[in-house]
Amino acid sequence: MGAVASESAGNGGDGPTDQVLVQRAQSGDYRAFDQLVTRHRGKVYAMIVNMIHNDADAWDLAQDAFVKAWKALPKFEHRAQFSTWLFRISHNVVYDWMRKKKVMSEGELDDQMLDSSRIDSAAPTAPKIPARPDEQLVQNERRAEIEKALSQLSDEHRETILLREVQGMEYTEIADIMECSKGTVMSRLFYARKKLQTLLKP
Amino acid sequence: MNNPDESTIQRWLKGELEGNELKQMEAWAEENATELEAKMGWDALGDEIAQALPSEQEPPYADFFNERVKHHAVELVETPPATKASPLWKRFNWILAPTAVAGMVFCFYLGTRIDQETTAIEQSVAVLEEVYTPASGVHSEVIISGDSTVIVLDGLDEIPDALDIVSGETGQGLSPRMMVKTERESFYF
Repeated sequence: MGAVASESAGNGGDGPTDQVLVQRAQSGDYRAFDQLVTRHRGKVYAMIVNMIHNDADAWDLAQDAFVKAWKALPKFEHRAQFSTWLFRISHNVVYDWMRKKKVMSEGELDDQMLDSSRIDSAAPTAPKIPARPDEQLVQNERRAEIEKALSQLSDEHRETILLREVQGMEYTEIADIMECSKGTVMSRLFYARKKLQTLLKP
Repeated sequence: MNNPDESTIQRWLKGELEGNELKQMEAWAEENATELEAKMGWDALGDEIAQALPSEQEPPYADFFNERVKHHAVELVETPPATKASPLWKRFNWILAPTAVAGMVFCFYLGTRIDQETTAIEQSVAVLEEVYTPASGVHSEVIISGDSTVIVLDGLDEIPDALDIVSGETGQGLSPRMMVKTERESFYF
């Protein structure tokens, strides 16, 4: 499993918890919201980049997600964690964008999203852990294979895999974000895994 | 539900299960997620994906990113939705319709004044020129005013009532439209 799913405090150990910041932001304190942006922008941006494979669009969409979050903040009732709620907003922003993009390029093949050879191995999405050049090369090749395999999944299957395996979320959180039942999440997840196993068979 | 067999799991993964069978399968999967994951032999590949793709990545120009969010967010705060019009403004809503009517009347009056002035100008700048016309006894007059040129042909035969310009057929020979078409065809061949 990749990252830790959900930090209960949501603060990584430093500073006030997400809950405290959200309450302050709800009372109009923008600085508190700015702290939340700083704290969560990395996860939101990474998730969107992994979904759409376009750094520039991901930058805009992540921003859009935070602006929408600020706008909807008065309605946030602390039923879910702030990070889960934020991921749900990001999910909607990304799906709206993909829907519009599909309508605009009806019938055209979006090779930018499908062709892994166009993915720059030196892009900022590359793992940050320093490795020997030969190891780095192998890692980049495998990563390109994984991204290519992921791009062959449907949007729903890809998102489920990313939320579970990369973001390390629980089934219930994923169900909350994707607005579907836990059973649907599991079936999507297992289908996606099965397909990835076939696609990534050595 | 007892442990489902492989074919039931496969049908579930493909979304082919329905009704009770689906409910039972989902309930079993939720209770036995760990067992199911082990059964699928996923662990190694799952770890590989987690290592290959970053779970967290700072957006480029992170400070600027925050600034842009703030800029848009603050804009939203300072620009209240249209539905939240002030009560004072709402109180004077009734004045909109009469103001619009008065504006229209004034514009109409202004238009008539300008038209009269323009006619006077046109008359003053009218230039008479001779224009060749195929029919005899037709007098032509060219009026140039600014960017516009108007040619007045006086002495043409009256257009018969039977003429149907749209259909092109008349009881008295070809209509202008048909003539144009015929002319064009003869021009190209």
